[in-house]
Amino acid sequence: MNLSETNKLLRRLFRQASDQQQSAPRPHVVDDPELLTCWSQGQLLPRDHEQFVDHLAECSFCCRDLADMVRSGVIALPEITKSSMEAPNVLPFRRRLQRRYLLAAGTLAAAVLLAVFIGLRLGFQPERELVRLDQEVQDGNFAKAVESLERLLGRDLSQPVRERTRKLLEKAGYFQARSWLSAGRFAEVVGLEKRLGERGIASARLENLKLQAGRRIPAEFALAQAGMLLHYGYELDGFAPAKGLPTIDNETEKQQRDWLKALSRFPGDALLRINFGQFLLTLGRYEEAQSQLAQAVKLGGQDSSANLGLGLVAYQSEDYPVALKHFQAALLVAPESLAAHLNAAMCYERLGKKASADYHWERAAGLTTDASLKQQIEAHRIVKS
Amino acid sequence: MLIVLDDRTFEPPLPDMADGPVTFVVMSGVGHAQFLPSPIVFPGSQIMDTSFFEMCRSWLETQPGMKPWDAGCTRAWQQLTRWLEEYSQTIGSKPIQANQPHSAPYLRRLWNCWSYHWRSASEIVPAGRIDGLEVANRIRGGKGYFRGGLLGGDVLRDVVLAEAVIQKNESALQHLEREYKDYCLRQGKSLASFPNAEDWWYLLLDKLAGFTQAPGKLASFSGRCGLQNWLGTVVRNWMRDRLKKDRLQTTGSGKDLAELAITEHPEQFLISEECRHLWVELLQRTLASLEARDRLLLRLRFAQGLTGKETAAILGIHPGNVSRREQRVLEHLRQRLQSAEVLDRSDYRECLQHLLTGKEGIGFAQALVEALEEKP
Repeated sequence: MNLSETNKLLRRLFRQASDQQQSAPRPHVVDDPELLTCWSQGQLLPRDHEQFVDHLAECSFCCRDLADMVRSGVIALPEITKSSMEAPNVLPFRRRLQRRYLLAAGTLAAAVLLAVFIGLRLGFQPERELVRLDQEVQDGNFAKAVESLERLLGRDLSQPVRERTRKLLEKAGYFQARSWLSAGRFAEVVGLEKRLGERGIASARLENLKLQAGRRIPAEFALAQAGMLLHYGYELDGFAPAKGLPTIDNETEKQQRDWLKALSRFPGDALLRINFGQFLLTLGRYEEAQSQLAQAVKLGGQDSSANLGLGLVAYQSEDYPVALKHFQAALLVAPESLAAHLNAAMCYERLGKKASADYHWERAAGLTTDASLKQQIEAHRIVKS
Repeated sequence: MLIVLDDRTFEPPLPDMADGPVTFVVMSGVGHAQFLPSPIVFPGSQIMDTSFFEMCRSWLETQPGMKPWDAGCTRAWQQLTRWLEEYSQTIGSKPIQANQPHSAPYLRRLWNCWSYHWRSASEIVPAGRIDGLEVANRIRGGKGYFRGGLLGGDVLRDVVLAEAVIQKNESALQHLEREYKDYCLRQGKSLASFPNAEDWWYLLLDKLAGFTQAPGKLASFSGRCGLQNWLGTVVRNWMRDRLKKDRLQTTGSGKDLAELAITEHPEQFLISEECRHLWVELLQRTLASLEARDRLLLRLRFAQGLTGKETAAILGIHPGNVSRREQRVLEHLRQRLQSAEVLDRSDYRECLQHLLTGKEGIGFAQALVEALEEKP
């Protein structure tokens, strides 16, 4: 069962558990068209609305039926305005009296809080706090540092201190998000990026982590996870018998929109372009992938990932000499890259250079920690010899 | 309750009135009558039913113009009878007088409607007191008190029309058709098309008036909102039911439909019955431990798939608060599911492994919350 199937099953379990809960006794609110109309027109008194919600919370039958009515357009939603959520401003005498007492108590509490705040403010030194938090980040206590830095940003700070706090928060947030990403805690990564975004922190590397989390890839570089030709449907003999057409669904389209949005915000970020190139590669859009990866090479110099990606594009376009050139360029930067050795071996084989291919097969077999892959490589070498 | 009129005894026209307090007072125009418990006599030999007012005496007595009690009731009664005459003429029938035996249900409906709005208004005005006639003037103009919203028509006229339709008054039926047929057709067509509008309208009329199966739907209309808005809800809901029935007829029973969706790819849902029951039971217990409103929020969002805006409208909260509240509830759900009770039981653990094959290292709680966060 893959991830989306597991999720489907979990959602079904939840729906079943929710729908099977007991229904409240009659009368059901969904059987009362007058009540529903009053609700829909915003004419329910607060007390009646309370009862309406209480019944729905207890009655799975009404909850299901009302949801169906809303979905199918049987009932229009009441307009939620600020005033509709407030109690009416005319209250009976007793309630007005109660409110007056509450107001007095509230004012008193606010005055006490203000005094405490002023006291704390006088003794508070943001710069010292910033140094302490910097140390926290260096010690690897990212979650704690993020929390404290967010709180610090909420205070009244001078412009330079605010800027430094933001930078440190971005750093702590990035490390925290990266560790969550590798642990597969994708929702937390997205949530953190959103939260920091709301605090005015715009960072390409955080944006990249969010996009990777959206794709459920637990790595900062997609090509670090999927850099081998084997990941794109090819076998060790260099052919791709089972390669099908990529599926383009709503999710994919959304991801693409997110990438484009991110690139418009950070056009000079090589990492974003490399990952976007890999994304386009999975969709079979080779020309666009090549363009993105080429730009990434320009931006980031001799980056192994970008060259690996360009090699993959060239290989899929059956341009084996160019692919080989890129894999070799990747090996220059990262001589221990398993993916680059494996891909280079496959290129050499397609070009008929058995000796060179064998050298790379040998290196790849030595580098892999996957016993099954090692076995496959050895078997392939025996067949080819 | 028995009504005694000129030595003749008969059952009251309304069955539900038989259960009420014995305060029905009858005054005949000629001869003698028995009064229970005390008579209120109108000039021109009219009949007055004080049970209307007695039932809400504690509240009604505090309202302006209701003291002394008898005089207040008399004024309210006269007002009701005046409205009945006026509205029965408006809908095209002969004016209905209070001394006619079939007037009782009309007057009862009028009073129920008036008292509902009067009471609602008294709850939101300062000091909790408001003149009933002021309320009546406002609702006759189609305006409610809460949020200054529109009721959608003169609700006092609407209840008279509804009662006349229930009593199969011919001119009322024509009036209903003249005024609301097009509107109902539009409402019905907003959900589905139907080949013959005339047939459709008569089916609807049957449902509303109860020609073949009494009581008709209009028997439950009490004027809390305008008849037009009420009809909109009833018609759309009726169309939804019909569509559902049609769907079931073409695809089998509802259960079959659900099973069909599930077994479309059976290999994807390979999980034993016991395992499913175990987790559903655990989830139910966990949901039951949440606060009622939080449970409702989860149900609406994830089990029913409503949007944040729709959920906010039902809960009566600002749409901006939904996601924050949702996160909090999901976190709570996660904590409950990660409790020792779950982790210590081997049967749960086995099922968990089965359930999350391929997601090693991720707990059920986290996987469930992630699955819920990811909208289908």
